[in-house]
Amino acid sequence: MIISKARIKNFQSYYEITDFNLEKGLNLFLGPIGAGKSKLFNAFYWCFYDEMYKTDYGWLPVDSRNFLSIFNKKALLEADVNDIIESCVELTVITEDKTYSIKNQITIKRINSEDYTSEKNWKILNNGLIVSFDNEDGNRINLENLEAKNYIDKKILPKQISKYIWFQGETLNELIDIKNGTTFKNAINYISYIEYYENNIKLINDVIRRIEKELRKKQRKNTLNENEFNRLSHEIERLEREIESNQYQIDNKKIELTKIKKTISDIDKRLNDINEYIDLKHKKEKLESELKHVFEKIEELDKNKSNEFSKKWILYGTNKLLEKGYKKLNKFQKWYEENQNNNPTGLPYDIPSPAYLKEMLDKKECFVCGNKFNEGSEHYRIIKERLDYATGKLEEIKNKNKELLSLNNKVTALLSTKNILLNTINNIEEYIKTFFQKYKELNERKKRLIEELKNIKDEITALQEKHGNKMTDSFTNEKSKYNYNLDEKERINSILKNLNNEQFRLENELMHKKKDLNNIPQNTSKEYQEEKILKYLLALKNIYEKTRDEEFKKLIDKVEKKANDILYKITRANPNVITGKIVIDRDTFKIKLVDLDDNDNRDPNTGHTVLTKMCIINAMVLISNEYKNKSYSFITDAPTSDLDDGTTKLYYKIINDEFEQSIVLTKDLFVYKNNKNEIDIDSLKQFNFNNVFLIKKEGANENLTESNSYSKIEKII
Amino acid sequence: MEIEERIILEIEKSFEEIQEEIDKELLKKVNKLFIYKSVKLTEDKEFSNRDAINQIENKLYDIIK
Repeated sequence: MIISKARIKNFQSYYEITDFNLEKGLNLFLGPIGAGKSKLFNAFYWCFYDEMYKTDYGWLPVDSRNFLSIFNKKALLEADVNDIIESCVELTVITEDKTYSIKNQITIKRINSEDYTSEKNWKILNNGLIVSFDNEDGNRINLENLEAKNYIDKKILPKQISKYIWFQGETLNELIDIKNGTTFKNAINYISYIEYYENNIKLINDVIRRIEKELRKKQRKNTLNENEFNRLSHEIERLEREIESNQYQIDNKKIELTKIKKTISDIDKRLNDINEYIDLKHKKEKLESELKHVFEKIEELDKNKSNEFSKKWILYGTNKLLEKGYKKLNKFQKWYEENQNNNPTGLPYDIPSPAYLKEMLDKKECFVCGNKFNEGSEHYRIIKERLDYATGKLEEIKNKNKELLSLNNKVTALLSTKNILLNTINNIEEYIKTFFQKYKELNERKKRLIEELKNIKDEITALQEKHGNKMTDSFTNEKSKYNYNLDEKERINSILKNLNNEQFRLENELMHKKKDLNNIPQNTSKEYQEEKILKYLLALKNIYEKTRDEEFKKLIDKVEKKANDILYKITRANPNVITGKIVIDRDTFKIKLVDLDDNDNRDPNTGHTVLTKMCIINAMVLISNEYKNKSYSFITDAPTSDLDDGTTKLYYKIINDEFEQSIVLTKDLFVYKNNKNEIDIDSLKQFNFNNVFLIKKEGANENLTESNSYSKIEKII
Repeated sequence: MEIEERIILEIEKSFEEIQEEIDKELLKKVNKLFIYKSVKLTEDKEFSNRDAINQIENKLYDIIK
């Protein structure tokens, strides 16, 4: 069976008409939370079975009380009074011998302008399911409603097994509860002919009882001990009635127990969700406060960047220039010191010191030529001129020396900063590196926190969508309901145990009574027709029981082997992770994931448990296809939420390889890049996923609601 | 092939193993009788278990003399 085309019109999140083709192999529909994946799953299911999945309620029929849940809110909102809207899903299905068109539709008219979300303000004009196909003679056959439903159930995809072939991730535990063997046993019954065998055995038993009764009637007439025969006959009939009534009670209690277990499991899920919600809220608050702190730190660094950092940035790289400058200062200082030591007056060597010239004038004697002279003489005048010049020059030099001294002091002061300044400049590089490293680290932390926060917010939104905003308020109430149901389960289990014991006792007693009855001698020896009939019925019953048991055993062996093949293909990609093997207990039908060394004391994590269930379900469907020589299109919504990216892709690869056609709706193959979820197309191509669709929301740009946005499907690979 | 035909074949496979003196052809008829009534029971909502038992019982008296 292949679904080749789909047309969806005004169905839930799909506005107006959406058309797309499906191929053989894997058809992957990727969409983030709220994009419209589950609505697409609903579209397929509603088209086939006229039912819709509602969280916590399961599959519900669509009728006059809830038909608006089928319709697109935007289409409803835009409708004026007297406007007619059609919601429909039409699928083209190809089986080994026919091509079918399956169409489910509802047409409604708005009868007033009041609340458009209320069924009472709309009128159903027509609705129904139509299956159309060409028969062997080439005539077009159109089957409608109940006839169409029965045809789908019998010829296209039996509803009873559809839950294992078309399922949502969140119902996985209901389908296969690894700790409750009944769910696996039921699944095997559904996907095989075991249930048909069981029904036939039951029918044979009913007929045997009837024939035995007839036989007793005839034997009574021929008995040698009529009183005893009558007494035993009455006993047998009483026991049969009691067994029937007891069985009726057992069946009812089993139904009651299943309902209670389902309630417990639902409440358990809700309580887990509430606990998870509270945990997520705490995590969210913690992350928000951490993010605030990181933002503050980044802001602080930004401020530093514009103040201190920019100053330091200017100095970065000036160390060579400074070293050159310091060298020049050192050179000056050296020159200055040398100059001071060699020529303390600073006068040129051809100019004698003023003190020396003054002494010559005072003594009126030239110390150079040794001549004496008088005041007013030529000698006196020349020496006096020399004295005046030398005094003036000395004054000039003194002034210059003062400047040099001051300059030298400044140079000394500047040189004293050398080590500090050069150290500081050399540290600027380190400072800048540290700054940028810190900046980078903080930004990476910010990005990580934003991503984590986004994921947590998505999870919170998903839980709120599932349970409403006031979910924590109902915790106490849910808890008390949970405890009540646990007590009820215990009570019913104890009743069931007693009923089963009683049934065993009654059946045993019946067997003995029948034996006693057969031992009562007959008047004449003759073979009754009923005895002959019973011989055939008992032989047939034995064959059915034997075939059923053998089939069951064979199927379990096959499912276990296939499930392990799938598990191996998926887990071999993670060779460093403990994998294990799936073991189905042949007495209790409980499913365990044990270590490869057969250690079954391990406590598998959520991922492994989910993987185990999915391997079992896939194995069952594949074995069932093989067993019944049928191939059903496998459709699953969000099956891999608890698996890592690699395992998810490998799981899809196996689906791609094993099923003739599979349709998988998932949010799990997105990668968070550039502040948004993106699809890693290259990695999908690597796995040869060649039919990949993106489901996205269009309409409003922000603050999306059900009435201002709608889902769009786009083929991306 | 219909489900009932597959079950018929599956069950008939085991007929050869029967040791008792039983007419295999007759047993085939009995088996078919149960299978068709059982299928009718699942398909026809108005056909009750009691109806099935009555019809099978009557038919059995006809075919096993």
